[in-house]
Amino acid sequence: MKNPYLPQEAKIVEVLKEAPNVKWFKLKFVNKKFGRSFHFWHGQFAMVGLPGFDESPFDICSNPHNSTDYLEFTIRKVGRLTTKLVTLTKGDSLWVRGPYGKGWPSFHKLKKKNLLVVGGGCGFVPLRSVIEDGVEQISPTRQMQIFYGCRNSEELLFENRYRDWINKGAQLNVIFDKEQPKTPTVYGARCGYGLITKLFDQVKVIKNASAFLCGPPAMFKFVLEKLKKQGFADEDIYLSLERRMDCGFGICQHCACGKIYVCQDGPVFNYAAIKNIPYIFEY
Amino acid sequence: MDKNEAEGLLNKIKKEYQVYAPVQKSQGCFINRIEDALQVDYSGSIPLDSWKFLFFPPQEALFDENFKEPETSYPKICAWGMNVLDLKALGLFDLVFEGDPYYQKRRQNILTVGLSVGAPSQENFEDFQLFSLKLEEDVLEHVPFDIFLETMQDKKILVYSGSAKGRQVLEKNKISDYVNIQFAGLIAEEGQDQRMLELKEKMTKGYEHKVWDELDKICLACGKCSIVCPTCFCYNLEDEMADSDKSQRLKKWGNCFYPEFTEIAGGFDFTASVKRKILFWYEHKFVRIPEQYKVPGCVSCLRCFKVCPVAINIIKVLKNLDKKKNEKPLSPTGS
Repeated sequence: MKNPYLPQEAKIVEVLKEAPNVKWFKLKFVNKKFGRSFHFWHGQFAMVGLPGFDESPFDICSNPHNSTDYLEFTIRKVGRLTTKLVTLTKGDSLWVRGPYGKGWPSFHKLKKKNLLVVGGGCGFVPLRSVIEDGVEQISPTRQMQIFYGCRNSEELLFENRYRDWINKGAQLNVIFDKEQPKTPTVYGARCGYGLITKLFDQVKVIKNASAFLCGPPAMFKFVLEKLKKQGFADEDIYLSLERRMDCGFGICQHCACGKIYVCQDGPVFNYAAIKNIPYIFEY
Repeated sequence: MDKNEAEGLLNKIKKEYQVYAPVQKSQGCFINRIEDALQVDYSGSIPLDSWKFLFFPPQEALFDENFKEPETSYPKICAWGMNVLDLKALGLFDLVFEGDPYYQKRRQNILTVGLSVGAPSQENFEDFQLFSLKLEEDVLEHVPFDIFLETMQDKKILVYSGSAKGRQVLEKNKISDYVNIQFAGLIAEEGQDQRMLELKEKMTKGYEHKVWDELDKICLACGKCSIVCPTCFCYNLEDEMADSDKSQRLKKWGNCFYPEFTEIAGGFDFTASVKRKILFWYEHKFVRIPEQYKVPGCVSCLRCFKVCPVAINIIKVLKNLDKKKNEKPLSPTGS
C-alpha cells in the first residue's frame, strides 16, 4: 500500500529574496523518476516540510507546463517552519508531498474568455502560476488584467516577471497601501496608492471576464462587492482559500468548513458553490 | 454456547492475543487489558472510553528523521465485547483509514468480538431511534466484526462469524455451531439512513438556530467529548524530537476544541469562538461524515454526555434542531 504521508526529497536549485521576509525557491526532486511523474495544475498546493519542523501547505507558484521538470514556491517567514525555510540556500533539501487539491479552472472551460486576476499581499503567490500559464495564452479573444495590492515597493513580489507578462499582453496594475509610489509605474506596471478596491474605480475593469481572487478574508469581502457592482456573476468568480492542513487529502479535519474540505474540494472554489457556507470567509 | 463456554473461548484466545474488554472499576466501566476472563463486565454498560485507541493510537510514529518508516510491531489484539454501536464506529474508521497503511497493518492483527449486550436498552430506545438505530434483523450484516456473541432470553449465546479470521478462531477452538454473516457494507439495502439525511439537511440550514448560541454560553470547549467519542478521528501531523538530535514525524489525536486546531500562520483562527468550535464538531458528525462516507457520524453511545462537565446532551441538542422557531427549546443539558 502506498504511504500517503511519505514526502519526497527535493533540492533547491535556485533561490531569490523576493521581499525582506520572503524567499522564492526553485526545486527539483532528487528522485528523478518521481519528479517526472509530478504533474500539478495551477492553484494546487503541496505539503512542504523539514524533519523536526513539521509540514505546511504551500501553493506551487510555477507554470504547470513545466511541472515535471521543476516546481517553485514563494515562502514568507511567519512561523517556526517558515523561519527555518527562508534560511535555506541552493543545494539544501526540503521534503515535499502532493500535489493536492483542485486548482484554478482550465481557461478553455471558462464561459467568460477574458481573465481578471486579483491578488492581495501573499495572496499573489497562488495566482502566479495561473498568470505564468495565462500570459502564454493571451490572444485578441483572450485578454488578461491583473490587480495586485501590496504593502510597499519593498514587499513587491515577482517584480522580475512583470516585463515579460506585460510584453506578452497582460495589463498589470499594482497598488501600494502603505507607501506613496515614487513613479507612476514599477517594473513596467502601472502603480497607484490605496487599497486594492481603489483599482476598481481607477482602472477600466476588463469586460466579459472570469475573476480569479486570492488574498486575506477582508480583501475577499470588499473585492467581491466591487466585482458584483461590475456585473460579474457568482459563477464567473473563483477564489483560493487558506486553512491549516495536516493531511492534505480530506481526512484530518483541520481545513474543514461546513461540508467542504479546503484541501480536497479546494483550495480554489467557484464562488457560487461556497458563498452560502457560513463563516467560510471569516476568521 | 453458554456463558462458561464463552469464557472458555476467551481464555483460549487470550493465549494468542492481548485481550481488551470492558471492566467495571470504581469510576465506572472502562476498556482494559484483562488477565482473567472473569474480569469482563457483561452488564451491558457502555464503557466510558471508546475502543478507538486500539485501532487509532493517541500517538504513532510515521517516519524517522530520514522519512523511513519505523519498524513497528503490531501485536495481536482481541477487542472482546464491542457492542453494535462501537462496531458501527469501527466500520466508519475502516472507511476513513482505508488508505492508511499504519491503520491497516494494526487492524489486520486485531480480532474483534462483538457482544449483543450494550445495545440500547428498551427504556431509552426511543431516544436511540433519533438516529434510526433499528435493531433490525440484518444489523450484523452492516457492521464489521470477526466473531459476534448474541445473548438470548434464556441466557444461551448464539455465535456468529463475520470474517475468515473469525471462522478460523472458532474452528481452531472447536466451535462449529455458528452462523456465518457476510458483511454487506455499512449502508443498509434500503439506502442511506433517513434520520442521518434529515439531520444533515437541518444542520446545513440551521446555523442561525438558537441552539448554537445556547451551547456557546455553556460549553467549556474542554474537548473531553472528542476524546471519548468513538467516531472522532481528527489528527495532527507533528514532528517531535525522538532523541537529542533525531526527530520523528508523528500522527497524533487532534481535538477540534483545542487552540490552534484551525489556526493559520499569523495567528488567525477560523474557530476562535466556542460557538464556532461546537458547530465544527457537530458539522463533522452530522454533515461531513454523512456527506463523505454516507453513514451517520454519531452512533448514539452518549459517551460525550457522560463526560461533559456541563452535561450537554447530544440527543437533546438534536431534538432542539427538530423544533420549529416558535416552539420552546429543551434545555440542552441533563438526561
